[in-house]
Amino acid sequence: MPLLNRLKEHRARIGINQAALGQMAGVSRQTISLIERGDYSPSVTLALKLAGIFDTSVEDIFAYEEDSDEK
Amino acid sequence: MKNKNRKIVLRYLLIMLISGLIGGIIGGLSAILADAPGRPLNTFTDRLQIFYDTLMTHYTVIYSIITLLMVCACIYSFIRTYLFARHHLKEDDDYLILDRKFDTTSTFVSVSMISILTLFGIYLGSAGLHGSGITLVFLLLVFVLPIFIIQILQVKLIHLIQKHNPEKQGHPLDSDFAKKWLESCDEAERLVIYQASYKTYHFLKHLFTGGFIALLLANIFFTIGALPYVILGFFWLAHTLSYCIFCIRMHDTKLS
Repeated sequence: MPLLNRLKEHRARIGINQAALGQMAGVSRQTISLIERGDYSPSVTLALKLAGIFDTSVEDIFAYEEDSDEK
Repeated sequence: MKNKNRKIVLRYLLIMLISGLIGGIIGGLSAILADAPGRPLNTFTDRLQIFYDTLMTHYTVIYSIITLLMVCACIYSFIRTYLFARHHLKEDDDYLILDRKFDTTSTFVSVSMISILTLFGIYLGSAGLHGSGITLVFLLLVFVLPIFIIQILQVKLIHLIQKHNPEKQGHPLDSDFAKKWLESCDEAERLVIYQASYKTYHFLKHLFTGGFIALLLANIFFTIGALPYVILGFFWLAHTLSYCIFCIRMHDTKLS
């Protein structure tokens, strides 16, 4: 279930590093790194927290890409 | 789906049949070799016995060298990690390298601890405490001191990890450390721990099966007695039962 994300883009926009973003979201730097690389899909709670930090919607940060098999 | 299941069952039965045939052939061959002119099987086991006796004669030296090398490797790995954490953290990618170094050093330290304990156990099992006083004191120094050093390295490493990951809780010498550490992990870190644990459970299942087969084969060449089977069986049972019991308990607890 591929989840596209623009987390790195939003993080660069407000000029903070992964550790700082992790602290704001209540998760570790490693988790932010995993999300940015696309290796981990965050929970709903975490996605909402991140959207709140960037003052945007969850859909603006994360997008669900349908597999070609599902079409 | 039905065809697929049938294929799986047939493949399994075929593997069991072939394994049984191979086991029978090995068993039969070993019985033939035992009575063969020149007694080649006994020659092989005699040579193994000579090798084992030679090893045990020089065990103190071998054990000391291996222990010293392990402790040095642990100290070297820790110092490299410490220096990298102190001087080289600029980009986000540097933290990825630091995480790898933490993992490597942690593995070195854990493996060294278990290896030194095992090597000392082998010494006690083979020679016992009947050696001269000097050898015994020397071995205790070579055993107690390395364990002490490795314990200190473990504590220092965890403190270093906590320095760079302030959300991590727990003192490494606290009996509740594992629980507090897990509670301070976030959702992704817990997922990693849970997936690694499950994979370890399955790996150990295969390891115990392989170990049982190895014991059966070893019994052909050596008189190993019943104790290895008892020990293997005990740990195999403990491993399986503990997993089942924890799974059953999980049905009634809140999953966090």
